[in-house]
Formats: sequence, C-alpha cells, structure tokens
Amino acid sequence: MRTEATGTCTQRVEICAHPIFVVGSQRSGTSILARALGRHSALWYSVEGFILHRLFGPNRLDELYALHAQKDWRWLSKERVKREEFLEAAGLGINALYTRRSGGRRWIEKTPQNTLMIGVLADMFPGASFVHILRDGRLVVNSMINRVQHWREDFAWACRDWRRSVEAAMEFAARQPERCITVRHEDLTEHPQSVLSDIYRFLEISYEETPVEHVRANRINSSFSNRPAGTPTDPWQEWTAEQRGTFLREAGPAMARYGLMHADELQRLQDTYMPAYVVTTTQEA
Amino acid sequence: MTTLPRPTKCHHIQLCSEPVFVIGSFRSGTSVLANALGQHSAFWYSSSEANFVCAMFSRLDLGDLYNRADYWFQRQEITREAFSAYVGSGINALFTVRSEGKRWIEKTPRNSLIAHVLAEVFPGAAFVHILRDGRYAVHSMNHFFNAIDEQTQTKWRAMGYAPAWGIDFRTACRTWRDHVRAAMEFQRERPERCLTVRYEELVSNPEPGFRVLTRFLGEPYEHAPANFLRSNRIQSSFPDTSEDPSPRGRSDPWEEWTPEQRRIFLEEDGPAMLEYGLISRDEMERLEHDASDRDLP
Repeated sequence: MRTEATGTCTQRVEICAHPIFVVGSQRSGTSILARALGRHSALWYSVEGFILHRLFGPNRLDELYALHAQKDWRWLSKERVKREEFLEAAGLGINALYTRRSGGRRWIEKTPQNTLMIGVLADMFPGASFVHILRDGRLVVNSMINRVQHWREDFAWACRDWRRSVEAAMEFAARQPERCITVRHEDLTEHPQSVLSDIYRFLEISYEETPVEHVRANRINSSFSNRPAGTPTDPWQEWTAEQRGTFLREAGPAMARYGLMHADELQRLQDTYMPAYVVTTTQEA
Repeated sequence: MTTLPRPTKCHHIQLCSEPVFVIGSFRSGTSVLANALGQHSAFWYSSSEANFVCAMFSRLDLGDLYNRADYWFQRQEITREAFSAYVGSGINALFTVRSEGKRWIEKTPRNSLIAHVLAEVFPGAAFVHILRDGRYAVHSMNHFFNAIDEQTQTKWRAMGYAPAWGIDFRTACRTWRDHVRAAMEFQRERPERCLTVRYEELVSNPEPGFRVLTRFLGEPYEHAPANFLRSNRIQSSFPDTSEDPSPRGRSDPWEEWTPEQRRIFLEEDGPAMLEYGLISRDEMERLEHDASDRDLP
C-alpha cells in the first residue's frame, strides 16, 4: 500500500476523487467501451475486477448497517456514523487499491455484476460517475446463450439477467441523471465519435481520438468467433417460437420501456408468439 | 471539443498504522481492559463494541475472493496480503477519523474467532488477549441476565438478542473454550502480534501488568490504565457484588454449580483449562474426583 508517513501513528493513503464505473448487462459491449475509455490519457482501465460484488454486493453493506446501527449503544450509533459514511468507508479501501495502480488518472472499473449494486456503488464512491451501455436485449440474450453454459440451458434466465441489469441501471440513471449517462451500443459502434464525445462531456474530460479509433478498430468481444466480424445476426430468425415467447414475456416490457422496441411492435409480437408459448408449456405440463 | 477537466486530483485519507484489538472470551474482562487502555494518551477507545467489524470480515473468504479475481490481481501484481490490507483500510479510516491521531482500540469478543483474518486485513494491528479462568467466565455468562432487568430480558429474548451463552450452560462452556482456543492458537502462530495477559493477574496487580502490555504495544508506561482498573471492576453479572474488586469475584462457581454443571464444565473446558495453565493437573484431578463424589447418593 502506498502511504505517506505523517510523523504520527497514522499514514496517508491516496484515493481517486472521481472514479468511473462502466455498467450494463453482460454481452452489451461493456468491455469494448471500458477498454476504449481506458485509452484516454486522463483515464485508466485494466480488466474486470470481479471484486466489489463479491465483497459487498448486492445489499450486504445495507444489511450490516441496518443490523449494527439500530441501537443507541451500538458503535455505529454511538459514533454517529450515518449510512453514507459507512458505505463510503467500505469503498475507500478498494478506491485506494485502484488509485495505487492508476498513477493519478481516474480509474475505470467495469464488471457487469456491479450493475446490480449500482445504487450501493454510488454511495460507496460518492464522487464516481457511471456510464451505462444499453444494447438491444435480443442481441444480448442471443450472445449470452451462445457464450455461457447456464444461459444456454435456461433461456429465460438469460432474458431475466438482461432485464434485471438494464432495469437497475436505467432506474439509477433516472434517479441520478447527473451521475449516470446511458449510451446505446448500436450507436457506439456506428457513430463512435459522436457517442464518445457525449461521454467525454459527461465525464468533463477533453476530446481525444484514441478511444474513438479503438472502437472503430475493435469489434465487441464476440460470442460468435466463427463468424466474420460485422456479420449481421438476427436472433429473432434463429430462435424457436418458444424462445420468442419467453423473451417477450421476460424482457418485452423492458424493451418497450427503454425504447429498444416500439410498443406496437411489442404488441404485435406478443399477439403472435405468446399464445404459441402458452400452448407449448401447457402441453408440456 | 476542449473542456476543463474535472479535478482529477486524488485526495488522501488517514489510516492508523498500528491499531489494537482486545480479544478474549465473553465475560473475561475485555471491556475493562479496553477501557483501561483507552485511558492511555496514545490510545483511543470508544467504550462500545464495533460488532460490525466482526460481522463484515467473518464471512469473507479473502483467499477465495483473491483466487477468483486472480486475473486482475496478477495483471496488477497485487499480492493477497496487499489486497487484504486494502480491504481493511476503509474501516480503518472510519475509526481513525474519530481517534484523531491516536491508536484506536476495538474490542468485540467474537473478534477472537477471526483474529487471523483481522491480522491480515489490519497488517499493523497488535492483539491483546485477556484470558480468564474458565470457571469464572462461564459462571459470569451463566448469570449474565442477572444484571439485566426483566423487561429488557423479555425484549431481548423476543428479538433474538439474548446470547445463547447466557441461556445454556454447555453453550457457555463451549463459547469460552472456542474463543480461548482461537486466541491462543493465534498467539502461538503470531507471537509478535499477540500477547496474552491473565485477567486474575492484571486485576490483582495492575501496574506490572500494564507495564508488560504497554511495552508490547510499543508505548511508554502511564499510570492511567492501572488506576482505571483499580477503580473499575469487570462489568459484572452479579449486581449485588458491584463493589467487590477481587479478581475472582465473591462467588465460587464450583461450590454453586450442580454436579451436572461440573461434569459439563470438565468435559467441555477441562482440557483447555489444563493446556493453558489455568489449573494444575492435581487440581483437575481433585475437581474430577469432587464432581464424581458429589454425584453419589
């Protein structure tokens, strides 16, 4: 740990005042966005940490605080530690760890599981900004089931995972718009300069071309390595009627709510596929 | 586009390099010791147990967490030791901001069970283990509710706050044994980090006891802790003996216990009592004989 001796029994540890979290569902382009931003001279990114949610997620700190601050004689009450201070203290150590590596630059952390504890992270890192990348759920779920065994075996689970992450991030963005920007994955890949400019403005950093070039030159970390880069996939055409029904049931409302599918289109698809799904499951039952 | 960059400067937090954990079984004098040490000008104690520390770190498997995130750690060349120290530094800061430059003391008996974790998370911390004769500690646990009014007792029981060691004799024996074993094992492994002091010796003769303690903690001797101990007895489970400053208290547990309680105590705590020098082999044989004799019709 890098510290500065203070001449007493205390030491000083550096922490970054304004770290950045890239959040979003898995298979949504969080990696390419974090890597691209990490090429900006004011920012630093390594790889996914997989630390915070295992240490403190998703509600562990609130549970601890609720249990240990409820009585006057408890240490947290007696020392007048508010929830905000408690959560911030829990974040300081990890902040110091990242800051030690980032060499004075604002560090970026992106682990998709962080998305489910975005509100807690905002309190643990009160100076942090959040960049949420949102991708069409159909493409995300298709990528999931082609990538990871448990999603392949349980299509509904993949749909729910996408929905939960997106809902958590979008609700946070609505609640704290000054702290969270949402960008569409499709926009990032098609218009990287424009989308990254928006992100730079939000993060209050100057324009640099290197991250833009990175997005142009690198495709999303693909689940379809056997296909040439840029090959369009239409999951809807590849899925069975049951999968379509499951997707519409689990993720359809969120698709419409967040502007990824028009409400009329959702209705039309539900009319077409959800009865088929119901018939199938009833027969199976 | 050019914008003024948001202040990217880092700021600093203060951490205590050498905090102190007072560990030991329940009803062993951890409170009076922590409060006494807190009278020393180099230390700060809040006079309240920070139970959340144990709750926060006891469920953490830092080794597993480190191994599962090994890619990040390897890439950043972060050792497990360094990672653990960072994990603890936020909680350290929470205490340090209150101790105002002094070395903070935390004492929660359950910390005894995770001393090895705390040693990793607070790499500069020193541990003081207070060891009390198991008979008196168990007896005190067994009478814990005596010192609490009935209304509070009822409330605690209803809310599930009542400690199991205050209700069940065997649980009290096991609690003493488990805490003492954990602390003694930790001291055996890390003698440079942990000092065990006997409660009975410290209370009978505070000054030499605190001289040893402060030397171990690297601080000059001051009279205040010993004076505090002389004028403040252990937080009692026996309200009617509140002015009794004797190390063992007025009641002799052995005489008060039923034959079954004696047998349970010897069964659960006898080996630890012998191993840690709290009873001689001769005395143990006498107690065993005593327990079996009393059982005869």
